[in-house]
Amino acid sequence: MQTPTDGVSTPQSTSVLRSSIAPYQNSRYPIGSLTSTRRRSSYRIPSKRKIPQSTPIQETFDPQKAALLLQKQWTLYSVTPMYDFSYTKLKEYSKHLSATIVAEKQKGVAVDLGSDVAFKANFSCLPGLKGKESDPTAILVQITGKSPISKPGTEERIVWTGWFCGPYTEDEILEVLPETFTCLPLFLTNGSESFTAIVGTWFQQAFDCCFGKLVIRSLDLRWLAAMWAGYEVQGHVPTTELVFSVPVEPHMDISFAIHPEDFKTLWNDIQKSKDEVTVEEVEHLFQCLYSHFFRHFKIHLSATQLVKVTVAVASAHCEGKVKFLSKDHLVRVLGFLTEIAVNNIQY
Amino acid sequence: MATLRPFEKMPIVNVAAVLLVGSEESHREQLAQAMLKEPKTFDVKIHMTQSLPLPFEGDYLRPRFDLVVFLINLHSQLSLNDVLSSMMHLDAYFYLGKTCFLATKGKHGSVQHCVIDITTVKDLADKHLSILIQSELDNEEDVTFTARRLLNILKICAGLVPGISSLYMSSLTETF
Repeated sequence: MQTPTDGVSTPQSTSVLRSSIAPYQNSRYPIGSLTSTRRRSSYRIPSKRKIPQSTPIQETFDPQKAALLLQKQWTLYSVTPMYDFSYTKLKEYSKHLSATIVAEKQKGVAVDLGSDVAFKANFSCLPGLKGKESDPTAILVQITGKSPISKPGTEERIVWTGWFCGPYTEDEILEVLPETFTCLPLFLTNGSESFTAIVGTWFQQAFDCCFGKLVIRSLDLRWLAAMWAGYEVQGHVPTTELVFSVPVEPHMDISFAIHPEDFKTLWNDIQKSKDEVTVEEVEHLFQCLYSHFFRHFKIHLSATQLVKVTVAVASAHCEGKVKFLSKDHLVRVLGFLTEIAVNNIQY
Repeated sequence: MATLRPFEKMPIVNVAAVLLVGSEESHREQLAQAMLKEPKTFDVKIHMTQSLPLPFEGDYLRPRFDLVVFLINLHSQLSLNDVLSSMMHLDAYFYLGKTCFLATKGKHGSVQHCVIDITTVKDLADKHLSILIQSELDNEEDVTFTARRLLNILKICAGLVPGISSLYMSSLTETF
């Protein structure tokens, strides 16, 4: 799996982008969309973000499929637009990928998964997993394993799951892309790394796309915590937890657990407008938490690094690991992650 | 305590003085040692503080500062807050070529820990017409190189390069 991109561009690379007139070789976008490439290279952190309202499309999302996605740990990747991907050829893709896995297994790549098991890949759509009408339909890839010694008729075991989605992708990006490209910038996997590598390589070869490891910066984790602080979630609500890593040797973590109700009250006092969140509000929220902590423990949390956030709707780790906890807010959280994924792609 | 002024004291012959401001003590120490090690034609006096204002005691022991360097660790909100509050205590004349920002830890491998976006620091430097240096300070070479760059700037700020004023410094910064 190729992991070249990391979000922040160095000044050197920025200047290269600015000065070179024909960066077509580097650009994974066709020539026509170069203007958008320029625009993205001068990306700035938004000073406010809108909290999208739920739309009727999300209601159509199959609860059974949703159950597949919830309560599991997903590793995040960003993907460049896929060339010549067709939703009508999913069956063909399933066969092709299954054959690739068999071939790879014979080469001895995936031996750790048991050599007798017969693996099968299956592509399907995740309709309803979109924020607005123009978003492309998400796709789910599952790899099932069947052991020859198990009785016929028993359920095949799912050994690896991965899905591509892109809810709330900016319309500006979708518009400049030619018809032949499918833009699903966010890729989430659960299962063995070797399968991720096989599937990733297959996608790269089949659709000429490129994968990059997606990290969630502490900066974005703060946004995540703030944006979903005020949301009601039905059923069991986990404790809001912020994990800070202290940059000292030996390694030390500080876990800051807050009752979700308290966190919500604090946030409601800070937030001014209901449907948008500003950068000042996010900073204010964390300033409050930091000064509270300093008052009690005399530790400057602002000098530490925020590495993990657990709120009622999701739990996210800065290394690019996410767990979704609520079906109702799944698409909105994905929308935020899509934004990060799009910005992670370097042109 | 009053603000720090650039020309309130007399200069010392063939001496340049720099003030390092930042909450990361290890970074300040590293830089200071590397700057002292570098071969140079003038004497360097290095003072460091976590934040401004400087205490009144011992003021007579301090030289005239030719350059103030603000160190910002992109992994630590505290370092930015310290720098922002310190900047208030600096006389406006310092911003005419006698300040410089140093952003550390923005490297690719540790991007996930960034709590301050680099554009925030770029904006800050642009607004104050100051130079922004990006550096990791995680290996010997990097520290030496950064120290060398700071010394070059310092030399100009102290007026030790004939015919070049630190006022020219602002033309090196991006203003668009």
